[in-house]
Amino acid sequence: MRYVKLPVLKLDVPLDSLEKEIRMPTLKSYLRPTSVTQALEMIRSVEGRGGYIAGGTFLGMARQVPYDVLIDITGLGLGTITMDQEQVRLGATATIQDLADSDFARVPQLEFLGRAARSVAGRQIRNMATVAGNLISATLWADLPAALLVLGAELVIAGTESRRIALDNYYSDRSEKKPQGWLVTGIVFPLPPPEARGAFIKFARTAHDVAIADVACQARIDGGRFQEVRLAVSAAVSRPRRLSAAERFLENRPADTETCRAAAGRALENLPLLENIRAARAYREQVLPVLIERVLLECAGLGEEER
Amino acid sequence: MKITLTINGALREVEIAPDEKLLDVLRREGCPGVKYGCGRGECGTCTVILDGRAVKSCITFAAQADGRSVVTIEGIGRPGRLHPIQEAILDHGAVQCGYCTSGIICSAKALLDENPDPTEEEVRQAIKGNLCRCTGYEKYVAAILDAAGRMRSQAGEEA
Repeated sequence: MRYVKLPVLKLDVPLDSLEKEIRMPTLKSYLRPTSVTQALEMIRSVEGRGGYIAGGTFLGMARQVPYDVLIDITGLGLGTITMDQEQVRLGATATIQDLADSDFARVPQLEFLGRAARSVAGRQIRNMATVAGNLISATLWADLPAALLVLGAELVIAGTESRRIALDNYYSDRSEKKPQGWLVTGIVFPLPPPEARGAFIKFARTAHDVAIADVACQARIDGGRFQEVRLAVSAAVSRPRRLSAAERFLENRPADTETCRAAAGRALENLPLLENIRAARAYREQVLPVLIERVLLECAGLGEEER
Repeated sequence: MKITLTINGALREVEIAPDEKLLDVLRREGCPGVKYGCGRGECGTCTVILDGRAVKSCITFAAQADGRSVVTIEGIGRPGRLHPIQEAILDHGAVQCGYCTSGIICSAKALLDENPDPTEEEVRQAIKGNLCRCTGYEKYVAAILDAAGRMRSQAGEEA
């Protein structure tokens, strides 16, 4: 009889490291600015000892808050979600439930974004947690990064200077300069054309657990071929990321089952898969290509429902 | 620091520490029906209704509730005159150990106030964040669907 040596599982890192912060209660004050300017002034005046809070579901889980001062940004009027012919804008304090309830989540080409929103935790968490917080706080298991990466989302940032950072660059380039005392005020992405198709899968141990993997895809099918493919994964890798090699492989190839399988088969090349309490790396190696193939098939109109 | 919030309909001014959780403040202010379970937002026993929406009070800072309105199990029904959700839960025998019950009732009330005629799937989604280790959820789901019917017919009679 042969025994397989199982790898040692490590805990998810960020929460753990938050908990290792100073054990003494440090939080001294809780401030409620009423404008972005005031919030930026407050964070500057506390010189590195302050942090922003919106939904607070991530900070609230930590045994100790690693800040002296919390600056609550829910009174800045940043809670709205708007859509026009060209773009969708999610205010920084719009909750994940707001996104799940949005009418635009029922715009067919954005249906997968609504699905991603509804996949996050349970209703009680979604009622508090914000979309922006999901993108920038708990990135090791967050579900929304994959979906917003394939939509080409950008973070709108206010600080000493205002600017936008592509979500892709935010995750991939740690040296990306952020203005001092920066505050994310919103998330924007172009409205996908009506012929675009999107797909999203969250894979977890139970309906309520955090993800082992999240996979999202958006593409157009033109003349039976993949065009403008964006494929992204989160929760299974050390940081949310686009799978650019697989995207390039798919471009202009026939949108058929063979192509989807071939792309999924090579999508993991050079991908640093995560190993944590949710799943071993070897498990993710097995399951991730299957999930990638499924989102590609769905975008190609060859998903389980269509076949 | 001082915050002002409405607890079960009564406007209150409460002295809190900046890092205190809503759960601890509510229990101190006379609402022991809000239960401490995991303290990490996973089990849902601490669920309360904040401005009409179910939230987990163990991971909500009390300061976040400043200027807002909280409803706990103490504000839902009273002895001798239970809320229809509570009556249905009793009728269906959905309570076993009872530790998750007040949280589930809050989740259910937030759902039914917003959506008086939910599907079974919507009920399951609404209580997905509430762990129950006794019942297997079936009786709770049946009770909440039944309560929705009772509340609709009550509303119909009053109208």
